[in-house]
Amino acid sequence: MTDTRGAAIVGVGETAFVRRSDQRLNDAVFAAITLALTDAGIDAAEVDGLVTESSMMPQRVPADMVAARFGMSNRCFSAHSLVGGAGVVGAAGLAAAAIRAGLASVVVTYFGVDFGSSPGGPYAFPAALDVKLGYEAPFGWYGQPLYFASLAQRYRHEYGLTEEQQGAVAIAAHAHAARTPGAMSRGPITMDDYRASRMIAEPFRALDCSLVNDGAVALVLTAESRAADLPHATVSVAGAGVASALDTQGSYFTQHDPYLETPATRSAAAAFASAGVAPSDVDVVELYDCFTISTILQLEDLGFCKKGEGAAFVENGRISVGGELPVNTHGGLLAHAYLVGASHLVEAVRQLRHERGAGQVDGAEVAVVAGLGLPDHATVILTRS
Amino acid sequence: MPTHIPDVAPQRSNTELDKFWDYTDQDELRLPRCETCRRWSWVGATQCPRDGSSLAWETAPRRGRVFTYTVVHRDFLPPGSTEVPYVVALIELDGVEGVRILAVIEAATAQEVAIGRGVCLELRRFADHVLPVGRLESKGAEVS
Repeated sequence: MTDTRGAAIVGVGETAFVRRSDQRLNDAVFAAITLALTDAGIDAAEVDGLVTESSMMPQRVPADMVAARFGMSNRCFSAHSLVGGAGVVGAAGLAAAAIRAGLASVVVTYFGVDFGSSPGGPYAFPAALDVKLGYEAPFGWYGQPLYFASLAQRYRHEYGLTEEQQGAVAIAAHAHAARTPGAMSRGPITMDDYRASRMIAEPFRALDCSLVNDGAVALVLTAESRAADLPHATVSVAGAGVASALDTQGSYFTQHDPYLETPATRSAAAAFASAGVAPSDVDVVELYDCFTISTILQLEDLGFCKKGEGAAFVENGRISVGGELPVNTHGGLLAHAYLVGASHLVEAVRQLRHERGAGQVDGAEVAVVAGLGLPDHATVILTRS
Repeated sequence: MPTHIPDVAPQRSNTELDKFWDYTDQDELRLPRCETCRRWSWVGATQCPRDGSSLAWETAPRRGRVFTYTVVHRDFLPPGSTEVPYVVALIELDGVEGVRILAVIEAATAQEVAIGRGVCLELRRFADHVLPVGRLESKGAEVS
């Protein structure tokens, strides 16, 4: 945090999040970038770096397309971070590292999805892996809810996991979304609503699962020294860590061992060490909650409780705004929108700027953002300077 | 309600994965095994992850136990591939340490399936492929 060449997130931009957008994916990304640059008070011509994740954007909205659209003629740094959500969150860490290393002065990170309107939605994306249709689909092992439901089932066996604990994660997410402009959730839910929700893959009901939608998000990063002259309170990238399991995208969900431990254990340890803060210093956590079990596993692996204690940790309002450790204060992937971690970064920035109104965590100064895209994981620690 | 079994033929991928189905077509259950250290690998491995040695596809035991599973009520397969509910499990085969294989579990009711239950695999012939299907052993045979 005392690094004189530190980097800060100085602009955030989000499109509307809707089930199906009329906008093409690249146009949505362009719109988000325009909003983020406006928020930062920085001209597009100053952007000399572009960073995104590695599994979808390189084909759909590559850096050259973005640079050409905005006339970014000084581009001298472009990079792709990790898989999916790990890459979306990791992109912020990579952009900050580039700024600190002097490789770029103004970096835009971007991400967009059209899962809501594209054929096959989020299930078509992993189908590109040979193992999905070449081995797994004949067993019916197809669709992300099944992979995480199987994790939850094993968690139940080893540590215990009740319907009420899963429901507590979903209820907190929807309560937070209700206080977040632009969230897709239709409003707060009760435990009865959770129990009445349609069973998808045991033990998951529809309310255990991420939303599906279209939309795009962008961030602008630059040196901390410049951030002081820009419109908003400075939100510094105080630390970042990435880690990858030895498994491939194709083998992770069937072969990973230890089965219930994600690479967040290592990415978080690296991020906390580089930021010089501890889990006990954290005011707000925005983590990749594709399913309710994802929240529980990462709370453990990030270091907020021990393995096996995550299910009890989420009970009794502890992860709600006003609770001991507010988690996913915008509603996350479960109740805000499925922007694969990008909106988690935006929410952390807004919390640290103290501009979240009814959803504000009082006095938030340290935020953790965690992105999961197995076999990869990224953790970024943001601080209000 | 008895559980169902999806009918989805494997898409040939021109990778090692095809061998799994080539063997089931011949009523054989085989998995890759290191010719040097003799440890088993998962179906997609191209060489032993521990010592880099070549793998040979060897006959695997057809008995194991449920490591984890899910009962699927809303499937994401091509339309018309299956009825629900169906149960898909990760199975640890006896003596095949460090590798989990997939199996559909056929049971009188989904409620019978539990982690740790013993399973015997049989190879079930469909129109275009042969699929390993697990049947639960009686509870007395359970291995914890």
